[in-house]
Amino acid sequence: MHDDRDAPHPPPETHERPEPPETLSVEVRPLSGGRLLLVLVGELDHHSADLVTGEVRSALEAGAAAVLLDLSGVSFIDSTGVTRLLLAHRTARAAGGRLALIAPSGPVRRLLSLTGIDRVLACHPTPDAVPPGPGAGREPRSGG
Amino acid sequence: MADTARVSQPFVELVLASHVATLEELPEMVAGHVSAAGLRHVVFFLVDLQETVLREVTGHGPDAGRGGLELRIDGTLPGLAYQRVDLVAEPNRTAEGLRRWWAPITDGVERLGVVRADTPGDDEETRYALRALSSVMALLLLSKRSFSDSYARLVRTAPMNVAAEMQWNLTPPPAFAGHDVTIGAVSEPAYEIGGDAFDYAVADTTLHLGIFDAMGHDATAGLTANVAVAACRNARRQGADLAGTSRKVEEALVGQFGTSRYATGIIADLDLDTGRLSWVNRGHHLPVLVRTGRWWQQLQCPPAGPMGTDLGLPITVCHEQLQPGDRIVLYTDGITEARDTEGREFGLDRFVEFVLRHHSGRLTLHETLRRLVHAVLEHHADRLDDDATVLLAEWRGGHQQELTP
Repeated sequence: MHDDRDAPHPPPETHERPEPPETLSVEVRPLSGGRLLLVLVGELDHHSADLVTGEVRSALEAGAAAVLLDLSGVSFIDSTGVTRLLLAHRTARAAGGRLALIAPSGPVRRLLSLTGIDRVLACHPTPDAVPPGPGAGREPRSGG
Repeated sequence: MADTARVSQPFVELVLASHVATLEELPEMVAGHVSAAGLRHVVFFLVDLQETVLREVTGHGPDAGRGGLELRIDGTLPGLAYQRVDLVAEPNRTAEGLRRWWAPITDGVERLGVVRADTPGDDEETRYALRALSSVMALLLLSKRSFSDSYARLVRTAPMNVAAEMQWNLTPPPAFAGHDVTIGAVSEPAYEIGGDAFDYAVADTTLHLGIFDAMGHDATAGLTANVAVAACRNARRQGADLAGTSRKVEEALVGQFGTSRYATGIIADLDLDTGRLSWVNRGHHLPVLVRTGRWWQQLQCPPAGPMGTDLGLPITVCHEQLQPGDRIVLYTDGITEARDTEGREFGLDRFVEFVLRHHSGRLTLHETLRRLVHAVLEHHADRLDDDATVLLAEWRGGHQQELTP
C-alpha cells in the first residue's frame, strides 16, 4: 500500500536532487463562524503532504475554530498523506479546534475506509453539513 | 527391487563429511561421494531470488559460480524439472552412453535449484539415488546458506538496497509444509522491497500467519516492518492473543516512531486440527478465501486502524471455519494495484482467477505463486512502483506428496 509513485531510489548525495513537481494545490477560503475551508486539488502524498500540515497549523494559529479540508479534488493519496491528515486532526484538537473532511474523493474514501481511519476522521458531504461545535471527529479511546 | 542400502551409504558419508565444508567445497565433495551411488558428473545450480534463472555452483570466485553456466527456467529442460518438481531425463544419451538427468533440489518444500547427474541406467535404483541426491543436496545447501556470502551473491541478479537486505533476513523461508498445511510466499520487487513483510510459524497445532505493509518505500519503511514483525513474534512467543499481539506491535511502533510511521497488517491463527481461522484486521486488505472449485470470497472483519497510528479503535477478532483444501490468501496492494503502461490495474479478480486457474491444474502451490508474481511483474513492465507480497496457506489440500520429485 501506501506509496511513493516515483523515485523510490534517491540519487547519491553528491548529485543535485531534482525538485519533485508540484502535485498539490491548496486554496484557502474563509467561511462564516471562524471556519476555514482548504480546498485541496491534486495528489496528497509524501511530496505534498507537508503543505497541508503547514496550512492547517497556520489556520489554527490565526485563530480558526474549525478547519475543513475539501478532498473532492484529491486524485491520489498515499500512506504519508494519511498520516498527515491524522496529524492535522490531532493538531486541531490540541489547539482546541477541530478538523473535518469534506466530500473525500473515491481514492481517499477507499483508503480511509480500508484502514478504519474513517471511524476517527469525520467526513461530511458539504461544509454546511458539518455540525457546529465540537463533537464531530471524536477520537475514540479504548482502554487497551 | 532397489538396493536402497547400497545406494544410501555414499549419501550418509557425504553428510558426515559436509559439516566442516564451505559452499565452495561442495561441488567437488558431492561429486566425489555420490559416484559410488552410480551418479556421475554431478553439477548443481542455484535458483536466483526471483526464480528466473539457474546458476551453476562451480566453487570458484566470490560468488562460487565463476565460469559456471546460467540456464533459464522458462523453456529449458532443467527449468522443467524445477517447475514440475520432477526428475527429467534428456532424450539423448551422452557421448559416453550415459543417461543425463535433471532433478530439482528441494527439501520437500523450498526449491533451491537443480542438480544434473549422468547414470548408466534409468531403473528404480537410479531414480532412488537421484531423489536422495535432490534431498541431501537441499539439506547441505540450507546448512551453508546462512553463513555464505557467495550463496547470497550467486542468487542475486541485480544490486539490492538496504531495506531489501533487511527484509530477506526478516522473513521466514518462502515455502513450508507440515501438519497438513502448505505455505508459499513471494515478495517483489526482490531487490528494492520497502515495507512489506510476511511471517508464519507453527506452535503445537497452531499456525501463526501475518502480513505487514509498512508505509513508505525507503530504509525507514524496512525498519518499520522489522520492528512490527519482531514485536509480533515477541508478543506471541510470550503467549499474547491476536488482539494483544497487534497492540504490542502498535506500542513498539509508537515507541520507536511516534505516530509518524505505521504498518497495516493481518495477524491470524489457524488451528491445524480443526481448520478454525481466527484473525484481526489492522487496516489491511481483507484476506481471500479460495475454496476448491471456482468459488472465492473476501473475508470480512472491521479494521482496527493501522498499527502505529494509535487511534485506539476496538480490535475485533474474527473467525472462519475452513474446509479441507481451502486456501487463505493474504496480500498487499502492490499485487492487485500494479498498473500496466496504460494505467490498468492487475486487479483482485485477475489475481484470484490466476490462483484458481493455475492451482486447479497440476502445478504446486509454489510454482503457481512463481508464475503469478511473474505475471504481475510482466503486467507492470517489470517495474513495480509498490511492494507486492502474497502469502498463501493451503489447509489439508492433500498435495504435499507433489512437493518432492
